[in-house]
Amino acid sequence: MQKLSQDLIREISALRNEPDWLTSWRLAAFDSWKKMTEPHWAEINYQPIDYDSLNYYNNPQPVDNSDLKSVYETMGLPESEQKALMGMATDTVIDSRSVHTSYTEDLSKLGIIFLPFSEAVEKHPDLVKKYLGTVVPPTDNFFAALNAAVFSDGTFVYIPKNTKCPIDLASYFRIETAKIGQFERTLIIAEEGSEVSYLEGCSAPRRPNHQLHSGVVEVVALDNSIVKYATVQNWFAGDYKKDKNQIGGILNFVTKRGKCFDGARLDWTQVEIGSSMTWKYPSTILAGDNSSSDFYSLTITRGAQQADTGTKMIHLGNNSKSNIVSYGVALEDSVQTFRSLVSFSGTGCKNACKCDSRIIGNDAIANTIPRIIHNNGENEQSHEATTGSIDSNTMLYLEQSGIDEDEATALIISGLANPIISRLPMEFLVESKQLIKMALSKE
Amino acid sequence: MLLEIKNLSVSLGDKKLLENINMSIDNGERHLLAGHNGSGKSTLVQTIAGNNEYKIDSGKIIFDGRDVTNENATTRALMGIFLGAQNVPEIPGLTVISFLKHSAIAHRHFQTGKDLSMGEFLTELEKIRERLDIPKTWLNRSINVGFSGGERKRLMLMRLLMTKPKLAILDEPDSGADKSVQEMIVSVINEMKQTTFLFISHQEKFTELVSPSKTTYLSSGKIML
Repeated sequence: MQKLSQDLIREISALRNEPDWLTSWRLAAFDSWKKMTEPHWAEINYQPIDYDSLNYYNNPQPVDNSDLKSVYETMGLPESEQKALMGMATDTVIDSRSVHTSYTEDLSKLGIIFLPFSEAVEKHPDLVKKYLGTVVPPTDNFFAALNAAVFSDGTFVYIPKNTKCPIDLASYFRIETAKIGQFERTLIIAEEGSEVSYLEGCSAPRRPNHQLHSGVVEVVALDNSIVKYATVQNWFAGDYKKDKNQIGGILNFVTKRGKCFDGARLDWTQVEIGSSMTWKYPSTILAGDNSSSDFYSLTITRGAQQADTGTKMIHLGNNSKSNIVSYGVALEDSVQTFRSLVSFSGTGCKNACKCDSRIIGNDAIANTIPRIIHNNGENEQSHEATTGSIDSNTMLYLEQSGIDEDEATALIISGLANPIISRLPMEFLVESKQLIKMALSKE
Repeated sequence: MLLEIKNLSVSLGDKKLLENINMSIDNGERHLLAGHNGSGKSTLVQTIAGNNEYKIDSGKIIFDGRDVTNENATTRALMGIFLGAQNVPEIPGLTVISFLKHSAIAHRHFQTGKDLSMGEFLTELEKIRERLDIPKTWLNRSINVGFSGGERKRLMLMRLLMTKPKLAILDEPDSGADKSVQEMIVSVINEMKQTTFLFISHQEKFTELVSPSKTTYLSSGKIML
């Protein structure tokens, strides 16, 4: 294990055969990171992270098509999830490397680039150089700077002008090795008038120590393009003990942001179930006139999980529109915080924000922290927030129909969360419903 | 004997709602529970159906030869106690078909230890849907959301026909239903020969139609002898 240093960054860059400009970009990010302090404004508590004791690079062997199923089986992925991933164009990233990317050649016939990040740097350096860090600059925040310095693989997507990607694209992230941190980077560029739907899923095996995941996602939605970005986050949440100590689990610090140009649309849908701790705010800069963005989020926490999540909608363009729908369920000793920031600098903009949280049991906590900034112009904003527990009459009605408590809770929550999960790609609908049921089950 | 209630006293918070109730219902009986508003009728049927909001201070509930006093609402339902309550909740996002499917699967599993196939469920559902003259699109609506009084009663009848309980407790089944739905309720009751019924109703017309074989009167939480 090597201390986090300029030498280590040079070594990672060299191992990946990166061009000099990218090595320099990483080193500049590392310099910025060293000057930054870890943010602690979120409603989360965790043991200090020793950045020098982390393993930053592990390079598993690539796998071919015939081995992919056995790799998914080894990971313990349910059959339905395996099938879903095999049916989509999927980039499978284990630890620091993309081990398999499917449908790459078929998509390339349409001019669509769907590659592991490292391969995109090698084959399309100009595109990567043009857009890397334009939406999430390396100096953006502490974890984004760390990611920029040490990022390993991730997914690169480019959709040419006026092209609709014919299949859903997906990335599957897996942290396999003990003590390793995962720092993937995803860059999606949708050219003018193009359309793409992208889904990321993730998991990690049960380990007694915390593991760090710090990803960055950048989406560039050029004029009149449409990007749908969905996440099903099921990182290992840690083993829960009644004394409120969560043993192990992923510490999940993620920066996700998109930039919409004129008339472009970016939709975020996220189902957040895993991780012992989540710090994540997929956001949109509505830079262009008539651009729009939706954020739909379902978060379920239990045990001693902590999730501080939400979104920012930055309205710079005139007549830009955004919509925020968040639904949270907190059980046992878990703590959930939903934050939203809606900022208007254009005119004729509209935002609607709706957040609902359900607290089950006496010890869980749910916070809602909305923020609205009107800089100028005439804009419309509405905010609606509700909180409460699950209605006892509803529970009783289902129980008196022979449905047990766990199943009844899952049915009620799935029903309420239906506007969110119905937005996921079809392949992941069944899987997500199953995950929600498992997350709410007492077992 | 299908149901036997022995010396049952029930309270909600500090308030005593039922005191020393003794009653029994035989297999195949049509039993009417009568009394003024606030006499404790709904409390009694909710207690029988396992609503644990009501605290049992003393006494026993024996159903089908088994002491169910400490069983939860789910187990009692699966054993064959059905409650068509007066007030039913709206459940946004949970469709009628999904709800009925989960309920039917649980019942089948409890009774036989086997799974109910999707084919069997759909065949049964189709039969019931036609019997109750319910349009197909209705099955994809959220439970009770925007339902009229009559539609709520039809959903109750769907649950009843789907689960075929040993004991069906119907708390004011005729209220909020128009004449045609009331007639439908009566005809379904007459059709279910294997089911024992316990009714609460204030409508003479309805009680005439179902012709109860026995009546128990409640007043201020006690049985009037």
